[in-house]
Amino acid sequence: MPTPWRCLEQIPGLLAVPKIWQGLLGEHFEPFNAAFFQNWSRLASSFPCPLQTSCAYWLTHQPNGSILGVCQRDPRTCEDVTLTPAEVTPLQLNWARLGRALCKALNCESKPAELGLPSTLQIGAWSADAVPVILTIQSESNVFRHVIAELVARLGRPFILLAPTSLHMTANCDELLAHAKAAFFPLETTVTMTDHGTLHPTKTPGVIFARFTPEAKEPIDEDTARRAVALINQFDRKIRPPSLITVFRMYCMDELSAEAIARKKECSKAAVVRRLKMIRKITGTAPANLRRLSAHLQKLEDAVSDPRARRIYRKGAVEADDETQDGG
Amino acid sequence: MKVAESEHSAQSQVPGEVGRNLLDLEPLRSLGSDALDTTGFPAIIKIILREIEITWDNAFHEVTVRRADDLFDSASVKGPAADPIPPTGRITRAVFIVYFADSPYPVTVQISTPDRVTLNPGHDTEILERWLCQCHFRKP
Repeated sequence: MPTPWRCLEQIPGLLAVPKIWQGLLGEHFEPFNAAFFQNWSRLASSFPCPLQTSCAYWLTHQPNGSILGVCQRDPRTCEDVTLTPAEVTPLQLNWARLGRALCKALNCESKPAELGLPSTLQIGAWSADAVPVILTIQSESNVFRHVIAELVARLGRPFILLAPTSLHMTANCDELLAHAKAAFFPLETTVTMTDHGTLHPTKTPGVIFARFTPEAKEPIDEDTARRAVALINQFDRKIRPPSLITVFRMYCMDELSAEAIARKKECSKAAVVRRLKMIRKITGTAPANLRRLSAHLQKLEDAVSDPRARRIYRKGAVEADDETQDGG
Repeated sequence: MKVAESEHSAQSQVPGEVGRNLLDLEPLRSLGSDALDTTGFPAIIKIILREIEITWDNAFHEVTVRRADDLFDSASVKGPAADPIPPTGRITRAVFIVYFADSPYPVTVQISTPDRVTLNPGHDTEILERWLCQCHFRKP
């Protein structure tokens, strides 16, 4: 049984009478209908011919409330049919609901936004970099290509493009996406739908969107770590207990909280926080970021305690200012 | 050239959905101009796709008709990005120009799904039927 996604590209405007959706979705119709369709506000004016021709029944409303379908051909080919309002009430894709469900399944932040492009919507954002996640559903390949071209030109940054299938993807589309460092993910291979209409990713979202997950900010190389330890040692001689190096060691290497350090050192939390601020000012790096190199820092801190190393590391030290006299 | 048309219809049309699609125009989409290959049919010189009708089953019952002297040739001039036939939508009608070896005039043949072939009388419908079968326009 095909996935439910393919049929979305068969219906321009994503609006059709239930009979058509049932034929296209098969066993997926009930859950998909409950989860992602809504009744259109009007009745259809025609009903598709069951013979699969280009013809359709004209619909006329009868005094008894029923609806009569009349063959459009002259002479008429098919018998009249009586239809109910439910049969001729088109079902329309609810973009907001589908967008939210996709965001939930793919672990994106739901952030719907109109883009002014045909059948295209930003549904959310991925990761701390807020990479736009865009859903487009097209019936024609040239429109799909134009949508990609406009997204690349307008956004000018990487984005994640979702579409039901890769039916319209061509080498040209790939090239356009590559220019913006964007990528395309067909729903039919990215998410599955349960019998209850719940969407699940085929892999973990982190794996699917790995290339869009930002690298750790403020990468701290060995030189930065070495400089931090040297500076802290330099300034520490002018600080009353708890010393900077003590707070540094407990916070960055032992990864204790300011409160825990205060308890252990029997001082106020504010004193610990002030020292953390001083560490930040002296090193130019947030103490929380220094934690990432705790093992490396430990090695450096040991080295700094060696008098021979101190001569080397202190080359980068700067003079203390008045603020460092704060003893808490 | 005779102008009157006659219909060569496989079956009368009555509502029904299953087992009635005797004619299938999808080879035009999947094979492109190769679907019009006449190899093995010396009585047919060549066949050109003149017109195509695409029907979408949305609530507005959209129908697109594309016509050119030669749709495939026209698309090839526009470049590889030009789709003579869109990848979605049902192909519900096609008009061909058939050049028979025994006729100085081209013959217009219209195929409408599910089962209607229309052409001018006086031509060899049997050859055309065999060609339709070989090129998979007529389902077995």
